[in-house]
Amino acid sequence: MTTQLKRYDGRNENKLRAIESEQALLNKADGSAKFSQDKSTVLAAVYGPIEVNGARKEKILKSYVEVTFTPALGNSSYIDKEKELLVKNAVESMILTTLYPRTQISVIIQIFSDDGSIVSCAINAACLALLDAGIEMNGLLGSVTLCFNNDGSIYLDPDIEEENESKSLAIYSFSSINKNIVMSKTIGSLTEDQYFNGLKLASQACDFIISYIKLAVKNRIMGANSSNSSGVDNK
Amino acid sequence: MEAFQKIHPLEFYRKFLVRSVRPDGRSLDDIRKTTISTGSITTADGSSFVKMGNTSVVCGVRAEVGEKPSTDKSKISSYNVHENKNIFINIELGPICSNTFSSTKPSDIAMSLCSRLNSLINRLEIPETDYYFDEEGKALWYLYVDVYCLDYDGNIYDAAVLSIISALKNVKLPKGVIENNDEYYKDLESPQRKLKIQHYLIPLSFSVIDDYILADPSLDEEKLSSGTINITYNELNEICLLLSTGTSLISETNLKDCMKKAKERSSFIIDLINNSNVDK
Amino acid sequence: MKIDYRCSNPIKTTKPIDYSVYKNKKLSINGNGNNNINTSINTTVNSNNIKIQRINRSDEQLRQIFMKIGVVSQGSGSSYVEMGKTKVLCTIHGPRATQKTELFETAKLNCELKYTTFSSTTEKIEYVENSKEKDLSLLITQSIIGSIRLEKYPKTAIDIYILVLNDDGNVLVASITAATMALADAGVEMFDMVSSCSVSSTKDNRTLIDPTTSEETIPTSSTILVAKMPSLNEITQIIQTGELQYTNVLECVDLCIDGCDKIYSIMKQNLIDSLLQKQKEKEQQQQQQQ
Repeated sequence: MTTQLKRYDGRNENKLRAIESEQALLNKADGSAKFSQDKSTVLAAVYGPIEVNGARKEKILKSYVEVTFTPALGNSSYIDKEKELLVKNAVESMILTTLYPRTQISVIIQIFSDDGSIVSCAINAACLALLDAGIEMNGLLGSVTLCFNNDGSIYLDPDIEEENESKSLAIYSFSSINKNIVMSKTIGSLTEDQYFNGLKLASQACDFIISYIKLAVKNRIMGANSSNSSGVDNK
Repeated sequence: MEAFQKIHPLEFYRKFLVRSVRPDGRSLDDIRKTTISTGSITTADGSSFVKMGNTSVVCGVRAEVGEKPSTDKSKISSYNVHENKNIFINIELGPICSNTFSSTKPSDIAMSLCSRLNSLINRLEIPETDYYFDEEGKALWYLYVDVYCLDYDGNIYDAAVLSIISALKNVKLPKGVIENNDEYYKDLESPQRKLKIQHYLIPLSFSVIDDYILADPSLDEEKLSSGTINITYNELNEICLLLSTGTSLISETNLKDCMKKAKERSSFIIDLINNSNVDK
Repeated sequence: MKIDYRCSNPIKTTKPIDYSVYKNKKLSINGNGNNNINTSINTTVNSNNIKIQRINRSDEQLRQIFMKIGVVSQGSGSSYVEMGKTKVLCTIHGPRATQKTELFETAKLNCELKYTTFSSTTEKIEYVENSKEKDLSLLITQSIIGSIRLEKYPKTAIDIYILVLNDDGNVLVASITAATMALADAGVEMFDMVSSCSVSSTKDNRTLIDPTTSEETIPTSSTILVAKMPSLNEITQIIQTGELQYTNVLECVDLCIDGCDKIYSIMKQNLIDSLLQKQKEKEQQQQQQQ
């Protein structure tokens, strides 16, 4: 049996990292969840439905979804604004905003440590936190990042070193409703074939993450003592 | 008619979309008239002006000199090895282009556009020797690209990308001389050189309203849309940026259609950029 | 929480200086050590000894002016003015209701001028408004506020935004012209349009109308700017910077007043032309609909 150590931590190309999560950590927030993919850890807190901050942002027929993205080190910058937009769009597609008119749902994302695939981690954490807060959604959300390398290989769920050496990155987000894309972003240049291959891989990986989220919530509600779900890895 | 448009803008639009047209007479795939002109700002090292329909954008490039960045690996770097760190892009959406923007604090749109443009342009493969100030490369040129929107009528992303590429191709750098180790001078008597940018970027944005996908949305359409798709190709038909966001879900077939439409625009845009940059 | 709004370079960069200045300095030091006059390194300023030469125009001739109104679709009124290489764009938003619900009997006029970061080769301009821009904004407000019928628009605000794309001297004149034309395009009621002109007077008694940047920045020269309403024959603003003798001041002001009248006729002609054009387009549209 030959072991191919292509990646730094010995994973195969399409293997996700070990996932761990925890829910209801914060007392004051309506919902909270901590999601980590190996060393990338994100804490998401949800406050909502609450009163809208400024009268300008209030929407009459829907809820206003606000996402704040705070990095692990340093001040918020324009780069974080872009990540906020990605998380916001993914999350807003799933929340049934018409059920909460004239209110605001705030999702606050705090990065504990960034070891690659951080936007995907944030979206997954946001989904868990929204479930914890009891906000009604259309379906569950899952997200993965893929990196495309110079030699044509595709790595699922890259860590920060693999991201830095890759030729391009793609972030995909899928839902549990159907096979359509909730959110997708690419950085760097890649061919169309690579993109659609990645799409297939990502769809399968997102299904896996969604089933993990279901398991995590089930364990919390039905599985007695601990609110910790253990990491389930391997596809 | 106009009252109907103001009270029920979405219904008003739907009546047109059912027949596959838009109120301004375009079909769902038609793109507004695009013009690019370069070199109009004499105080900038490179400049361009792009007009797509009513959306106008002016872009100016300033070149300044600085030291080479330290190659100290111990500093935490989240930069990809393929990114070059010599171009800094900023986009200003001020009150001059629309009454929704303030003059003091940049809006969310401006900041996220800034981040997107920076990551897009910094992946262009420009050889490092192009940035050398003098012959040995002890000091480097740093380019500050500033995009100012003059009229905000939708689809600012496409206009910004076109203006940045045209302006970068228009940049002329003078020969540099270093004296006494830290004094930088520019030699205006010897001929100026251009940056060797072989690439072209072909952007196209779409707006999703209900189940219809509209190319090159105007401001009214953007306000009514429930999703946006931005696709940027380079001249080798590789995807340089694909962003699909919004509250509606996009299917794979729709995405493939959009990609096809974006590719059809390739040759037109490449010709436009080349014609605007012909050596005058 | 402090947010980094814009992209910035962690490495400090500077603008390189003209090599010919350094070479001259070296030559003068090597030549004779006494000659100190040409030692200003940092600026492109001309010293007393070097004469300003105007190519293609006389001392009393204005540069080529180009004006266009209605350029920005999003504003109530807009205009674009080019004076030689100086390019200025102006947008008017208003009269519109203010957020602050104070009871004003008249409209509130707000003016903001901004230089683009690439508009000037001599100074470094930031994204945030600096004091020079604030000063110019106030001067423009003072120049045109006298001509607008503010009492016709109570409880509203009129916002004027000016963007200087390219600075080659005489920015204030171009801005006042652009602001007035944009106000006319927006249909704001005015007593008369304000036209302005400026003159630069050098130590050797030359008076240059419509100075360029190199002529404005001569250290021993002074500038005079006059803004007036020609039909009413009233002056709304006179600005004088630098040292100037009384007789010279009078002479310059007279020159400026003549210049103002010339510019006014250009503005009027431009407005009439664009109105005729709009009317023609409307007729064409109506014909097409029929």
